[in-house]
Amino acid sequence: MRIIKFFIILCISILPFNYIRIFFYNLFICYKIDKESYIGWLSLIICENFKISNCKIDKFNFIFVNNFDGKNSSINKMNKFFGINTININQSKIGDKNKFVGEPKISSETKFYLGLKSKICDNNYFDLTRDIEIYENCYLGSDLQIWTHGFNEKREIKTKNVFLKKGCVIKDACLISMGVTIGENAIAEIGSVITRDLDENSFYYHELQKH
Amino acid sequence: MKIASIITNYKNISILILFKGAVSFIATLLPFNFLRVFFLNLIPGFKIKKSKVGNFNFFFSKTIKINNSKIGNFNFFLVESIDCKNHSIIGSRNEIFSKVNESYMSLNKSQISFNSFFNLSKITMFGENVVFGGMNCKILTDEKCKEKTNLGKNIFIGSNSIIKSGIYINNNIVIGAGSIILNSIETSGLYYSKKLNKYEIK
Repeated sequence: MRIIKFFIILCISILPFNYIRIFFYNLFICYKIDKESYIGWLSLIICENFKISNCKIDKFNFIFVNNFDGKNSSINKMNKFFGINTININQSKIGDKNKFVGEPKISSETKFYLGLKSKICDNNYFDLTRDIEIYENCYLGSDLQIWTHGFNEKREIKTKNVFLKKGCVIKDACLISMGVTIGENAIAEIGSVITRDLDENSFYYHELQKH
Repeated sequence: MKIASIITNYKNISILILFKGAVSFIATLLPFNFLRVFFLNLIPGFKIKKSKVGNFNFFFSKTIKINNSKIGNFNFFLVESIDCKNHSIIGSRNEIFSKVNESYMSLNKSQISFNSFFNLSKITMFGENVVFGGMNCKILTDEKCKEKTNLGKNIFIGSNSIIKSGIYINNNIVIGAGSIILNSIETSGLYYSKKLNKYEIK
């Protein structure tokens, strides 16, 4: 049954015009797609519940998610969403080549939330074995890594959630490890490795040292 | 990056190794695992037993021994002899090469996970239970380096970390994410090199 559904979706995604693709998605696979939204050529969307209004999803995206809910937001080219239970996006932007990877063997109820007017740039990696919640007005640069799993001293897996609160700015090539909450309006400089909680209204950086 | 490293190095690589790499790439295009392993075993010097090999792999090497282990997709090897044993895992999109003649790499029950970039010196030995976690790990060399890199047992190396080759790392060591290692480590424990500084905004 899954193979038939996949084959139908592949046939629909090759079709030439946008309104034809949206019409067949709504007719055959029971998605709820608005007339104002746009789905690009050869972006495979395999979901149980898919509901968007006034969204733009560009070419070559792969979305294998149970529940997808989007309003007034845009997703650029070549993003991958794997093995996540729910995604909730509201009036925000996602750039190119991002990867959102979950592992349903460890926990099958993961959730990714992107708040109002927040932006994610290119080429990031989000590990979603647990939840990641990003609130309003956040800015994430490119080449980030956010991890929600790690290992003990005895090599046992540990998992914790990650929260980024209102108005925080995380610049390029940062790394956020599991269980971190970042306070409101905190700023992390380029290339910082964040392993503990960051306070509100503060600026974090690595210092060069002279020998 | 992978194609560029072949083009810039083509004079040092002999024709036989180039030919083996091309044939191994064609063999890994095939659909099923037993087909890929069967055609890779026909190449002289390659021995693969009880293991999985993914698609789109380049093996530019003279001799390969792979026992009981997994190799993912899109890997690139330019090492003269490789030895994998005992449930060792090489993930996908790794780039492992060395510009030195008669280079040798051995894995024993250890793991290289994703998108890592290894530029090796002549001899590299990974001991039991060495894990390169996360992604973007690097091992880099000088041209003058002639010592062998030797990692002991039970080592975990976090993502985004950089290691200089020609180094000895002792047993039971955890290295935090984003750290840079230039000298050899003797006493066991947890190590990290980056420390965050705070500056309050008023």
